[in-house]
Amino acid sequence: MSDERCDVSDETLVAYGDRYLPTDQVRRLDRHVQHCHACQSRLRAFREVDQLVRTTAMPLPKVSDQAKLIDLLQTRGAGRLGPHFARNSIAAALFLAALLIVLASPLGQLVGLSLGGNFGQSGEVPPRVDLGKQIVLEAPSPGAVTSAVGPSPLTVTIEGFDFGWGDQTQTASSTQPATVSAAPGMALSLPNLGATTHNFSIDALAINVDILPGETVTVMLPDDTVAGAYEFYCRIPGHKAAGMVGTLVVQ
Amino acid sequence: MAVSSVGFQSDDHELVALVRVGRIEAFDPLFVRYHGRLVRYLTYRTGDSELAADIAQEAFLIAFQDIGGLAEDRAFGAWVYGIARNRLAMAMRRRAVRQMLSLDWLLARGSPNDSGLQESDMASACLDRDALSRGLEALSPILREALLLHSLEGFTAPEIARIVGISLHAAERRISRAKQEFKRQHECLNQEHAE
Repeated sequence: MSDERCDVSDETLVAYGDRYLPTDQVRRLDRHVQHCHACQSRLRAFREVDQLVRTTAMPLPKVSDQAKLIDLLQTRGAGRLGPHFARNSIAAALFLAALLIVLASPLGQLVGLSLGGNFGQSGEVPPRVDLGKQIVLEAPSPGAVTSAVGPSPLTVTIEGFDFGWGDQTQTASSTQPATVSAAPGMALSLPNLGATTHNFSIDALAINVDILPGETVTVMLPDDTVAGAYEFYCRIPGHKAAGMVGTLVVQ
Repeated sequence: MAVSSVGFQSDDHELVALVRVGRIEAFDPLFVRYHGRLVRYLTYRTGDSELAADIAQEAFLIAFQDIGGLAEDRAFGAWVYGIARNRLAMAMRRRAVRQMLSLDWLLARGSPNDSGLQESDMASACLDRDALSRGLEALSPILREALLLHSLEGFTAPEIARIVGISLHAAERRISRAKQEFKRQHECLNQEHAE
């Protein structure tokens, strides 16, 4: 690409092409390139490479493709994930162990906490929890059916994944945000089926919980929740824009 | 900087300024603007789309947490690519250590130079081979990085110098060499294909 009669270096042509040189130098080069076939040829070659790279590159990954990728990651286990996720997994395991100890203790029974999420199967009123409105109940069962109707009439399940809420297969291919119906006093069961930490927030109800990968967080809707439509979303930067937003209709 | 509204049309500096004053929703357009590109770039660097997605996610979380440390004259895009580059280097080192500690590796490999830990080998081994990846295989990791950042991602030489942590002149030299090598390789591949 070089020409013996031309003393303009390849590096200078890169700078010239990127347009960050001082104006007077750009003008000098403009005049030079106009008459220098060697420079024209080198610049043309650079542009051809740019065009070739851009036109032959793989398409940008779509959110739905990323969701499939995350599924694959999950099946291969957390060992493939980076240290961020490993740290979270350890923290989650410790937290879960501590919680199980509390729940199994007489103190846990005293404050009315119990394991299991099938409230209402025998008609009992779901326990009210004041510990930051959340308890970790269970890991999501593989292949759990996503539905607005949860395991019991008093539980609504909203699956979180990378990056959406509700039914993965439907939401990933749809631009429509998830809409879920519930009633005051119901439990919202929130399994995170993704490979990254997600968050479930409803600003109007002061709900703000993080959900580690593979875990389920249950949030109680207060009995005095006013009927209406509430936006829920993932607070982690970028996730809402990527599709993790929906509407909870309280009736 | 006077900024009040968040929109996908806002430029990076406006969005960064909003995030800094607590408008975290302004981070969404930044994520949408760069996340997919970053995953693709890292996939070409590593040949491992899963690792690429993981590192991209980490890079955005770090960027969000540390956005107060971003100099006002520095572009967000180049900054987050720089973070991802550091995370990638750490991931490569961890992978290298894991493999070196593995008994299988000791038995299977004759010398550390054969460890298969080079980016070039990773890319050729794992990536679905599209036209670009075939051309990239012939480049050294250093030139491949320069080509991807300049030709594919559209960063200028000064931005690449900051991302990679080298002088401007070194960045310009790598970019020009990468393009020459890539063009030469592409012509060879076309010739082989014709024959």
